[in-house]
Amino acid sequence: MTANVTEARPVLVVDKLTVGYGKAPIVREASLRVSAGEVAVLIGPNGSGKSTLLKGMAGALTPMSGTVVISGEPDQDITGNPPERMNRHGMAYVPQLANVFPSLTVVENLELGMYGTRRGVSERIEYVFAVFPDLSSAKRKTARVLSGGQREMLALGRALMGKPKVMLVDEPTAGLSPRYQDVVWEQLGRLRDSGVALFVVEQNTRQALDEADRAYVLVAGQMRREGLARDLLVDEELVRMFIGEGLGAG
Amino acid sequence: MSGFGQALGFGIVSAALIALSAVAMSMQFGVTKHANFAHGELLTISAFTMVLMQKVTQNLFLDAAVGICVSAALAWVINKTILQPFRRVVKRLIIMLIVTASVSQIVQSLLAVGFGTNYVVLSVPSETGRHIGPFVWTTIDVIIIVLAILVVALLHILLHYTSFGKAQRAVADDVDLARIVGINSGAVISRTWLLTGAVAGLAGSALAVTIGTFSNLLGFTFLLVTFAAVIVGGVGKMYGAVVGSLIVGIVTEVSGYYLSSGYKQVIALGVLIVVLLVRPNGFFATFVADTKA
Repeated sequence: MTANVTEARPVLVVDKLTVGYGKAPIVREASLRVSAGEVAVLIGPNGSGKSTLLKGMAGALTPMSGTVVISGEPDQDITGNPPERMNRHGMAYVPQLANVFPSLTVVENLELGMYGTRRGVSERIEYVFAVFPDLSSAKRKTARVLSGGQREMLALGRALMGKPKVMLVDEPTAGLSPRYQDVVWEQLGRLRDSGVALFVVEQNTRQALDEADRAYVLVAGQMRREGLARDLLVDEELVRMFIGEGLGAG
Repeated sequence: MSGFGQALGFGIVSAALIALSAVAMSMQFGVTKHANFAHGELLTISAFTMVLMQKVTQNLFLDAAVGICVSAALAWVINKTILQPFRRVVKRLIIMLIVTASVSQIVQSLLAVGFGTNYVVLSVPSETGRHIGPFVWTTIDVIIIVLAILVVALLHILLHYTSFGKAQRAVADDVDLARIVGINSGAVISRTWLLTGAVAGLAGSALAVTIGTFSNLLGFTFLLVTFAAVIVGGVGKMYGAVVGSLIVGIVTEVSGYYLSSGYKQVIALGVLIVVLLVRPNGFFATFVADTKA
């Protein structure tokens, strides 16, 4: 499932980012990078600051220090940009909860993924339906009647509408049945194969390390470990902390 | 012709007037998530602008058009200069309600300073009603009914077939998510105030033409029936506001046929209480399915 990880130039570079609520930092000096066509996961115990870090990267929280840079010609420092501007820089953020507009139909939700653009919307919706065929059959339904799995697909599809370079996804499998968790990871793999850089916060450590190319471990607001996912999967300390004896080596 | 039929006809006209006011209030509430107690003053300012304009022109449509523009401008200014700065620093609903109630009092007082507290008169050509089916309506009554239908239809088209309308619905659903997908929620809210101010202005003009004489409390007294219609229909639901307006308008007028017309406000409140007992979230309340695969 994992891609061949190369040391390509990263698309997203986060350097020493400190994020918190009010004046209290929750995540301190976190650094990471994600390349095109790569899935990087952020794992760690509950309350370690994973979602806070993601919000800081996406502009939903204003970082206290550090930088978030999208590579390009030229590189764009997007640190602290408001969330509504992030799309323009090629970054899409999919929150964990409340990630669809319940009173809007599937098609309307997708259209909003290209808000402000008139051309090519229909073609892009067809592309998203090709990636997420489940959505096509439900396109006239309002999002409030979709199942949890379909809502997650819709949130990912909407993020995909704007042709992002980077997608930040917060716990896409939370609350889903094991079957749908597999489906979501399969779709994330397809997004990776299309060249998108994916940074995914995930609670299910075992599955995350199984599916990802690169992994970061956040504990108590600090980045404690990083490396290739397949290496961390056999890291004894990590296995003991997050996965459980006898499961890590698969 | 039965008196009941005539009362029903009056009820439909009354419902049309309430609907114009209620759809504006409902749309504003849906997007901003707080009630606006100064909504009535948007109606009043439009009506008083018509009175002023009559000194310049005798064209009621032109007078109303200016009134609508002034009301829209006032709504935009209230949001931009007072509500928006408060929203940035205060998230508490009660504060926003107090702020809008204060704005209501300020506008009422300014109108009292400018026009006094006595009734002003808007000259409207007198006409007798004509039988249209079982109803007796004047030309102005028919225009108001047609306008209400037209406004609701146009707002439906706006909400479902335009980029701005879809952005409005997105902001109404979840303002934080709307920002994440790239919608400038501040601009959407600002334009919504402009739009709902214009529709409220239309309601004020229609109300002024219907009753002819009014004071600086015109809109404030109309606020109760507007709230009743909005709450009966389901707060923030435009189509609910239309249904709520029909219920409140028709029930109050028809009951006025059997009881004294002085009980109209009491009847409106009674309808509100009964509906809230049966459907606490109004007729058009929606519930998000909490389904997981």
